[in-house]
Amino acid sequence: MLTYELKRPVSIIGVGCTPFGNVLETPELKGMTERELFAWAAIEAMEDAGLEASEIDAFYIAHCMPETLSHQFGSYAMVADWIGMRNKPGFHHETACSSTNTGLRHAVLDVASGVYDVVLSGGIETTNSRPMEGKPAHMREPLSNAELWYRTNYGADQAYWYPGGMAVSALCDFSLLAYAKKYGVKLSEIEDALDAASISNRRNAVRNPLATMATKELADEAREHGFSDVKEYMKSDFNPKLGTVMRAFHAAQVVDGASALIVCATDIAKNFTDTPIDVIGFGSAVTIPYHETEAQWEVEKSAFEQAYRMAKINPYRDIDYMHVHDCMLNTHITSTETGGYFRPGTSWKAIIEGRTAFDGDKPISTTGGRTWMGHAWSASAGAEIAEAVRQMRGLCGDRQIDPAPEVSVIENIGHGIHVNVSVLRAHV
Amino acid sequence: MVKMQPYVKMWYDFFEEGKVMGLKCNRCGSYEFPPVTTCHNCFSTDLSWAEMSGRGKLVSFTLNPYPDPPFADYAPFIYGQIVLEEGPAYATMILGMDLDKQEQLFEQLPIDVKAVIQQRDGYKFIAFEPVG
Repeated sequence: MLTYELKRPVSIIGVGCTPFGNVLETPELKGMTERELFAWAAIEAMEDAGLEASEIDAFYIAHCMPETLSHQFGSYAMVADWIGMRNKPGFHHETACSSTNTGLRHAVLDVASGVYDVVLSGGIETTNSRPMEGKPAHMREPLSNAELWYRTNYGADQAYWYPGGMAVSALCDFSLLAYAKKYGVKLSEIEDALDAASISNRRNAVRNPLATMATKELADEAREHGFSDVKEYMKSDFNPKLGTVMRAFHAAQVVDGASALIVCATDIAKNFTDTPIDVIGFGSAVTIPYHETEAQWEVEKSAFEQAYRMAKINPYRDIDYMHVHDCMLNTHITSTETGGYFRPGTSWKAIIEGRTAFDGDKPISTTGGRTWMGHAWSASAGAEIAEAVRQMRGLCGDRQIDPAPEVSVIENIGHGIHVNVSVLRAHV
Repeated sequence: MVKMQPYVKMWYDFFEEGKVMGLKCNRCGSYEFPPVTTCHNCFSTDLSWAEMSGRGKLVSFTLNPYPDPPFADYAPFIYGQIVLEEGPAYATMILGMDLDKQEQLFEQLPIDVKAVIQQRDGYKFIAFEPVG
């Protein structure tokens, strides 16, 4: 019988995240390999938790495309010595772009089962470049966006879908057109909502020191290009169409980075930190997305419902902060409704009205999202969970949600499709 | 004893004969398109090949300004979601649409479409086009 209950409560006690940028260019990251990046995030998480590696019982490393982007697999051994985990249990896994959200689930289950007390779960991806063939890992060459996406699409169905000329990116417009049809919203209004979501995400990213690629708000960027109205800039050739409504600024910027989370049994969490964050629910669901013809996908509904059932929360009443998987910004409209953050048919208007800004009443993606903090495949979900933890602890400076959220929901969608939802609550 | 067949290969081989085929569940009558070995509706693994009508409704679409390089020769086309007459939904290339009239296309949804088998390098695949 399914209980949807953890046998032993589990809390996040430490988080770590590198700046997100490009190891070939970004000053803070330049010259680093996957090892230094993962170690950076993991050691930061250990310092945050107030513990050393000897106190960690096992670890997970999410690494979505190691063979393409790192020319190796066996990522557990790649980093074990770097984070003090020699001869400990270590596991590589991936669920594509939801990997480190799934990794939290793995770690929580390990502790909830009673097998381990403390587990580290992190992720790494270096999407902008790849190693030179046969050379040491720090010697890398740029990878074109076209080749990166060609390889990334190995994460989608290769029996039927891709050989038939289909692309995963099309799903974004499919869901938005279905949404517009269902709720009688004009396509121009959908476009306005996507633009507003991008402007909000950039505003958050500029306030996030880890979002190194975002240096100015879109209104300032617009003025530099001669546009007094940012809305006109968003409709200009600087922001070309990718589909019927989606444009370039509604899509992810690829970056390199790493993230790490440390969980432990709630009953010993206060031995490490005064501010544990409890993991009160999670849900996962997979599908091949041919079948999803509605704005609200069944696969997302399933994952959200599992998570809320375990967390025993009413999403319409209890959620203070939500991160949805915004590698394409359609999710600010569709997934927020599937996850019960907004009533059906209302999200697009709330976004245009500014309610989803960090200082609005329904904040979304205060990292800057995958559009403007950037998308580091396996590593991003962990960055988004780390952000939620820091928001709940009141540590997010000039992008801090006020009052600090008590309940946060982080939803991620892995290419192909894997949905993972986690529900966090401030420990009381 | 499981009687497995090379379903993926057979699906493509049927296109060479001009046939659009799916699997029909022998227990509940649901269709699997494209073919998989378990009925999504009743979980039976007793399914048989059945010819599909090739007709359906286009229910959503997107413009495709940057087709993947292997499919550039087919441009211009849109990506579309189709709900087939027999029930399954699928998503693939839609040919023969007026790409300058997306707002009108959106207003016209759902649009009747039919399968058109296309030749690629070494295999045939299924696309759709508007009826009439």
